[in-house]
Amino acid sequence: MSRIRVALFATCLVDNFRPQAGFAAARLLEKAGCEVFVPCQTCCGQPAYNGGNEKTAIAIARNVISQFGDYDFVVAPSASCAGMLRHHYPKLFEKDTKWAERAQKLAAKTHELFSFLVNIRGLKTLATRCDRRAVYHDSCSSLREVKCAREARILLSAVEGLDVVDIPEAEICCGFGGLFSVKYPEISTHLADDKIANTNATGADLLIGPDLGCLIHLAGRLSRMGKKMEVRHAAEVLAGMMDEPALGQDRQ
Amino acid sequence: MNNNANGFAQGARAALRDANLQNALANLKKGFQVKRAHAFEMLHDPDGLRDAGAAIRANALAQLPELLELFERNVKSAGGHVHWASDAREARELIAALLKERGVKTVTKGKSMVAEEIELNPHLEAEGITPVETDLGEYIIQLRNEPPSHIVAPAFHLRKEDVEASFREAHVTLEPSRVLKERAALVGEARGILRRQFLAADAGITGANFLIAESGTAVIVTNEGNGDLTRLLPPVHIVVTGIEKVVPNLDDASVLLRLLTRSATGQDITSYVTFASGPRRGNDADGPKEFHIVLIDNGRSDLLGGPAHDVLKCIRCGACLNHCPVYGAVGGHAYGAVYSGPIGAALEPALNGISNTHHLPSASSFCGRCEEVCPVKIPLTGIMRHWRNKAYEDGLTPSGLRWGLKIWGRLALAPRLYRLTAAVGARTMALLARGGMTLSSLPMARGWFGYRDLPIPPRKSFQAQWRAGKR
Amino acid sequence: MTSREKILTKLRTANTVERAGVGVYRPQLRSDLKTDFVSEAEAADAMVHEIASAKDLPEKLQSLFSANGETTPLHIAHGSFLHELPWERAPNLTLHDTAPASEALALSTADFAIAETGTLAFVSGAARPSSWHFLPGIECVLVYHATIVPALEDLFAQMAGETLPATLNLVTGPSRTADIEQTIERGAHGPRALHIFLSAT
Repeated sequence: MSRIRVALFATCLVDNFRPQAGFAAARLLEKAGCEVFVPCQTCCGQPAYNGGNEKTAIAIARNVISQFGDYDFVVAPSASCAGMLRHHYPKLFEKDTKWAERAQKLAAKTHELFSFLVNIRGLKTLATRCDRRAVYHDSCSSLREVKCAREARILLSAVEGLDVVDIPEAEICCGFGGLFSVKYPEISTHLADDKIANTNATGADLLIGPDLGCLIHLAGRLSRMGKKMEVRHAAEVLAGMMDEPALGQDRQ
Repeated sequence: MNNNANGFAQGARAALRDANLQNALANLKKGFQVKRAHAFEMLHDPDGLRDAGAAIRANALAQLPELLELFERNVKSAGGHVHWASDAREARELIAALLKERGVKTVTKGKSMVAEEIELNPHLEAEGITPVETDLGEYIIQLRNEPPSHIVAPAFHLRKEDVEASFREAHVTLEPSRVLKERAALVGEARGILRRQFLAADAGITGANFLIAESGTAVIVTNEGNGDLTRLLPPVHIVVTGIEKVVPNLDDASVLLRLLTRSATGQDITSYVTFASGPRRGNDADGPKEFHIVLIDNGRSDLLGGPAHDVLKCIRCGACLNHCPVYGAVGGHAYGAVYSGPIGAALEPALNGISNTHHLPSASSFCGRCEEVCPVKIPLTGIMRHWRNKAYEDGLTPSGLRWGLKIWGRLALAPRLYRLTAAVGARTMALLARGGMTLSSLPMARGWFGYRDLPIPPRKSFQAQWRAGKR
Repeated sequence: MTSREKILTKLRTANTVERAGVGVYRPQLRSDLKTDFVSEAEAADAMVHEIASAKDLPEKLQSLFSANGETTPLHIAHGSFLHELPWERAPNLTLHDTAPASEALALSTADFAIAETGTLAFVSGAARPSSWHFLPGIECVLVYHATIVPALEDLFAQMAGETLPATLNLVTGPSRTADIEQTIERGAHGPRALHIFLSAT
């Protein structure tokens, strides 16, 4: 029986800042019985889309639809980018008779990584061990756009020895918001500081999450504040691939 | 009102440094958010109620002109008058003229965001008419000559010491040595001062939370009862309202009322809900002799059927403000607009033009919490994105951002160039980091590096490593 | 073109707006009408007293508001049947039909009561001044069991076929404000206290 063919949409942030998370996602997908492909890719188009440049977003989306259309599923280690493909690509092509159906088809088979592993592949065991206390950051996309908070925790509970805690006031934005972080840096930082204070209150020294944007923003702020906190994509913990240094940190 | 991007940036900065304001804003989490959540938990079908509200508002907008005509007919047959105003200027001139014709010197006012929107008070004062705000929060900010900082709680940003100072300054007939430390004392003092105003007013102006077509009714929702004293005591009652507020019937209004009070303050119902359907009848013991409705367009008709249409569903509950991380960081004044928070970002461009207001829909992280709590399910982030599109088309996006997006767009559409640029970028950043794993500055990137370091990208991207066979 | 014509024309020529679903929501009673009404009213800070009949009102009011024997004015609107109650049983209460002032005591009858929210409903009329629900310091209201309806929609159903009065007031608990530091204080402009006398007959 042939394995299902999954195209990994790594996301531009994983591609450029955290390849480790891409490899972790691939390993998890293979563990779940998928054959993993990495089509040529750049970006999902969200910066243009949210920046008001719909024309460029549409052009980028067409490329993604062309590159990723021929697989059984498209999986992204990001609720934010998965949400872009699932919810916003169909909207971009609503009035385009040629592309509307293709966009719908792609949307229907695109999933965020954790929700895909749990809900589509039924992955329950991981054979991974991590004797740490980790604090999990629910990105806004993972709470509201492509809900996968529950699925992430189901997978994390399968990691032996791992104690996962929530951040108090988890429903409040960390302040990243993509371009928002550089358009309104003072507000963005104010929100980051609140999120960091809440994170520190848990006593955990490992910060993980489903979306790299938030994690880079928080890791960058933690570093500027001189605070110690190991920051990783949650996929790295799930895949047992924690040998690489954490975000922005030297080899220990 | 400082309606521009610089004003917002400055206002935001000042707000973030204002310890008293930050204390007040912390109350949003403990107060409004908790209360709303509890009120919705107590419902047997919270999402069903929001769906019902969304449907009622959508259906009402689908028949807006017919409903307005029906409403007008019913108000008139009960002996009331209906006036139509295309814009803010026409509205305030109409109202001032109405009052002057009747020799009105003092007019009491219930809380009305529309009245703020049309800048009614300064115009009345210029015409020799004294408006007296009677909602306690509005009264306080009127004394301080400040705009409201929140749709439901206009004096949200103040401490009781601020209120005490304003009362001492304004209430000169009272004994200076009196103690005004407690909130109850402040409320009691306002009660006394405003009771005299209520009784002496020549006319009363209120807003309307809803208009009901089938009965020609304006619905006024308060906890204080000030709206009622404003309506019932003087001989003239004027209702100022946007044209979008009308619903077909009493049952629709009942559903929306449930949503409004729970969403705004977490109450199942406010102390007072009044259905005002005209002037006093025949033998009525009291009530106004004249009843006037002023229907105001001011940009609303332009929205109907367009891309930002859903913003007309708003019932002005303020829940979006209460749950917004940006509003929660900077408060209402920083926005420099009558309507702040997410609804402000969605509505102000329609009322005041995108060139004056594009910074408002821009100032959002699109976290989506506003949409999650909106009682009538307005797709607020979608509407903000629509305005961002308009701003981009009109060349209003700041040039740095515009260029950045253009370059990113070009790279995203040209994978080889993208890979090359990323590789060069990674190498450059590694050099600049001098062996470290983070960068603390880059030219032209103050937006990031002013506040954060950046983990440097590894030499080879994920795709490059994958293609080279790494797994 | 008048503004009216301008506005209506613009609205009529706008793009069609989709209708969406049905907007109905029926609240659920937790218990029976009376129990729900009482618990909701008390949760809204009203004081609820159960009496056997309206005739018990004078003595009840005297015991509540004139226990020390001092003469207490009580305002009842001119023409109200409440004047016909046995006030001789409450000699300390003096009846007035002038409008109550800010610290005064007033008594009226509710036309309806709503169980869902513990609300009283008052229809404006000849012997029913609407402003009296906002003027006094303490508002007392006689409510008959039989007038309790489950929800606001039921109140309107009972009034179906009639034109709405000039003013329909829904009153739930005393007047309050949280405008200063988001903390509730009572008696913002309207009554500081609301006493409901729930009569079986």
